[in-house]
Amino acid sequence: MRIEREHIAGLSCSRRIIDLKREMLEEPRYATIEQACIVTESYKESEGEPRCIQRAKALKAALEKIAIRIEPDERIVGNRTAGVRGGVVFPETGASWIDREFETLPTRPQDQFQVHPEDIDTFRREIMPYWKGRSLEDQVRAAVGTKVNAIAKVVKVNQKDHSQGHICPNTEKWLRLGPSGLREEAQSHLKDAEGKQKDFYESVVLSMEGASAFMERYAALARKLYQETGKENLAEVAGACAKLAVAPAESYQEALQSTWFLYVILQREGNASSFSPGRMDQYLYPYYEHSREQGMTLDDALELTECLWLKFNQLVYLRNSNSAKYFAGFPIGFNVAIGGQKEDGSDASNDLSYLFLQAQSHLLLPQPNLSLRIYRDSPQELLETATRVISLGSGMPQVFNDEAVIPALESHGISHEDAVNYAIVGCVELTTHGNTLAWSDAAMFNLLKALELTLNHGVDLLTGEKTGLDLGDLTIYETFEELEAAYAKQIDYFSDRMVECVTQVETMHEKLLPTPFLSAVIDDCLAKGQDVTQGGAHYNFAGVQAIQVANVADSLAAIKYMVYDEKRVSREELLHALQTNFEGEDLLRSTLIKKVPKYGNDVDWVDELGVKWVNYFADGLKKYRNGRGGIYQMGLYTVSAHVPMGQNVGASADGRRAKDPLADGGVSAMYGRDTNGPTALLQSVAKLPFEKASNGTLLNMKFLPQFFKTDAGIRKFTELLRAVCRLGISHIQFNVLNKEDLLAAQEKPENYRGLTVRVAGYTAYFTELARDLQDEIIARTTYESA
Amino acid sequence: MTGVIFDIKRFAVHDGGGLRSTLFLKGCPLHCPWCQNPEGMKRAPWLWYSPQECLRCGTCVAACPHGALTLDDRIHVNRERCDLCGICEKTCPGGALERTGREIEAEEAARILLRDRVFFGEHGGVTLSGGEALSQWKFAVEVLARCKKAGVDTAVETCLYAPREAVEAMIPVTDHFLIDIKILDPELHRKYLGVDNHLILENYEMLVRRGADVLVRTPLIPDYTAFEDNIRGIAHYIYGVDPDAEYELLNFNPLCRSKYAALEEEYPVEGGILSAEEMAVYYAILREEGIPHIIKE
Repeated sequence: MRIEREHIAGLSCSRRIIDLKREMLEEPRYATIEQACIVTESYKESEGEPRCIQRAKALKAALEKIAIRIEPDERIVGNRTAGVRGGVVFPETGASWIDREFETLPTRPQDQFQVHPEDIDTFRREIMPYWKGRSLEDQVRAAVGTKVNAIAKVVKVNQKDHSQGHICPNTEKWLRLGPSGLREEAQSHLKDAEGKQKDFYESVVLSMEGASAFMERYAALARKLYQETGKENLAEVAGACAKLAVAPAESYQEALQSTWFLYVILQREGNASSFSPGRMDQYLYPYYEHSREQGMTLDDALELTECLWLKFNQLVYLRNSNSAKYFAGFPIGFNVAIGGQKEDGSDASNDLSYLFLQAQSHLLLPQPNLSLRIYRDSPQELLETATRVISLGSGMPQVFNDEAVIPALESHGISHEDAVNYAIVGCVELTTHGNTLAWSDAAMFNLLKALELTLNHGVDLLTGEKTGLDLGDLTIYETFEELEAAYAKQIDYFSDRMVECVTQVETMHEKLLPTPFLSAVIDDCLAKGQDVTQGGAHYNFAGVQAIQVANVADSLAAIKYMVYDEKRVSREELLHALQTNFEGEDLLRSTLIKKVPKYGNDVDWVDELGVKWVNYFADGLKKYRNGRGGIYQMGLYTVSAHVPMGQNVGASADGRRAKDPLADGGVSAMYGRDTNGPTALLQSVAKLPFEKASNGTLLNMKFLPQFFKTDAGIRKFTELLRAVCRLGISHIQFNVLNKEDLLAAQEKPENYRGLTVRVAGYTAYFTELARDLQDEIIARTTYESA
Repeated sequence: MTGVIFDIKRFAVHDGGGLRSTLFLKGCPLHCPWCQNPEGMKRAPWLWYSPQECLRCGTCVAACPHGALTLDDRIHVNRERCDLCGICEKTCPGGALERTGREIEAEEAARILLRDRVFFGEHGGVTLSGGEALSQWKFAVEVLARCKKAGVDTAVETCLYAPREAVEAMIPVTDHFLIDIKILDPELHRKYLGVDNHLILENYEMLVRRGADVLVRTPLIPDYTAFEDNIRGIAHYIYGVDPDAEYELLNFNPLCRSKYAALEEEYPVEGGILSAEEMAVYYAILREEGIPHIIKE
């Protein structure tokens, strides 16, 4: 075993992979309407049929007709578009925003796409007229738009113009049965089914027929290219695709190819932010072992893995400009989890865990979103290998802690068996394998904005509009406790309204966007004869993110200390300073920043304020049920939303100026204010109720490369990881870079196109981020070793 | 039992094995011109001023009841007038003024040090540094005894310029001695550091005889310690005392220049970090002198 691992660490990146990577990155990204045209045509033909049948027919048509391409050197094939990294226009969910923003796609600040001018005309002529008033976006707006807008500054309700995603399908079952096996399973149910269930099973059969046809098209194209070029890899590809169309995978290459087809088709059907493969080192291992026995070399296994790794980077996600600010850098969240424990508590890591780490160290690309699961007895070798990969600065693997995650899932009704087998979807959201619709990104709740409204008669400091409850203002609350009581009411007010909106959005998805292909790979949909959007999954959650603990704790601490306890500033003065964005109040602002202890420094009374309000919010969610009958879960992460959410908030008592970003990540300290070093930050973070944050949490830490230069440094870092594990912190991720790198990258982006940076729950290309987000990343605390 | 300290550093990674918490005791019998922690030299507390934090607002000047502060392009402290009352520290909106040096109970010091125990793991622990840790050796012994009792690894960074009884008292509570031998020649030692090195070498030999775990370190300071005769001499000497010696050369760290600027004092050392090539020359000398364990960070 030991020798095998050392061999893996010595494997180099093949010429094929280097060339494929270069070609991929050189190819420009385009927005494409090809699928939109096919789908719209199909909808017109199937008018009047049940929605799930319409959706299945549209998917099938796209799978049968859309242009496909194979690069001559590829060993794993398949894409949503003939080009790579294409932005797929998906009118079923959102056509109006495309109509509004089409021309701006090449020049907008975040997530740009090239556009073929003739596509804009075609879109407006052929596609837009059909979807006007029919798309999810338009129907949601008609049904609940006013209510959504009324709370928008505090609560961002998601999934209004795109599919939900954040799903880990049952890939193991897909590999075992393939599209033909799943089609047969649906057909066997179909015999006795009636009504809606019959429609559902029929829609699954249609989807699977489309899937097989898609694979056969790739087989045919590969055969043709093989005849033209004589390249052996194309013969292999042709064989694998032809087989997978009718039979399950057997070899490692077939399993990788089959896995990739699953995710391409899921995205073709769903166009969603993230379908995640989950624990690939577990379910692919039998295929790997089989092929190794048949003579596959480690070099070959690595190259095949890296071919899939490149593929994960070829699908991106076209969001509207506002959403692109919240989720910058086209995260599509192919989240792959390695390591962790088996159900019996024994170590789950294997050769594939190490091969995946080696692939990451070679490619350093944003996808897959590689996640390392650690637990009390994680092997030192695994932690050291992972640390060496982290030290390369791609932000991966991010680290999840079984000791915190498993109990959190179990306390939300998940069985031990499923909890131990947890995976990560999207960025940092937690899920079981193959049987959950977690609706992880139902909404983001800006607790700091709710505090602002509480301090100021429910009136927005930025706009002067009254959007919250008028409970008084800071000058009226005689004690800190009175202020807290008002704050609680304000949170309740917005929570009620949030749930109402989320439920309506969910209902629209059920009505408009059933996903039969996905439902076939989520247990118990086939057994129940129910689509996932109807509640067919075994587990049904909805997730809301509480944002942002650092700013809430720091602001309340400043008010408590400066106003009520020490009386260093009057209530009138502080309120006035907030209302005027600290105009002429630099000394007060500096005092608020420098003289009041901050969250992230292991100061109990401040940290406890954060804990208190996180608890309050999480407990408040318990009384609600989501549209599929499941419970709500709280998350503590923002992705990149701390920047736009900060733009919505006026000056805050923590000394933050109006519109400045909030603390990053989720549970991180406000940047630059965690001055007692990483252990104090982690001690503060560890006080949070992670057992209640079962939707996922996010902690960013940044290290300079010097820390990892020696073996002793690597070992010390693993000790930090083990401490994180003992402290019960769910998640942590590391940026390793120096400031000069980043400043240089801003000056000469062309020289840094490959530079990846951990934004939040995912890695993006630094040069593709908007300038303010770049600045913000540079400003975050960098730990030099003491 | 109380002591005077000037800092507690958490996540210390260069003061011994693993992740550590380091307590800095105030006061030192040596006067190294290159001292990295000038705020730790004197036992008495001190008003520390950080120009980079200062807003030049003059709040402190107005608040000081003793007229000890003046403002031009920065704050100047009249040390004769300042009685360390702390009013300026409290009122300063920028956090630029701070009294360094506070008295603390050994029990409290140990409690703070052990707060990060969860990070120590197998190799990490607690380190006492300074100033000179042994300048308050009774306090040091009590702090470390409490840490040992809690089952935590302990280390001391010391120049060993201390009475023999102090060093002996440290042995039972100290897992690792990280000792500085800076200059071997007694004359030069007296000239630069203000004291003879006889006591230091005697204590070192005693520690080796008693079987203590000792790492010898020499800071490489341009013009003061970083020259061949000195390094070869130290290497030769420690090999003679302990053929199994561990020896580490600490590269010069010029970051403390800003501290001297804040104190309105000249920093006497010219030059910067030694290059890898220069370091290689010294490592070669260590090997020639037979040092068996050369430690590199």
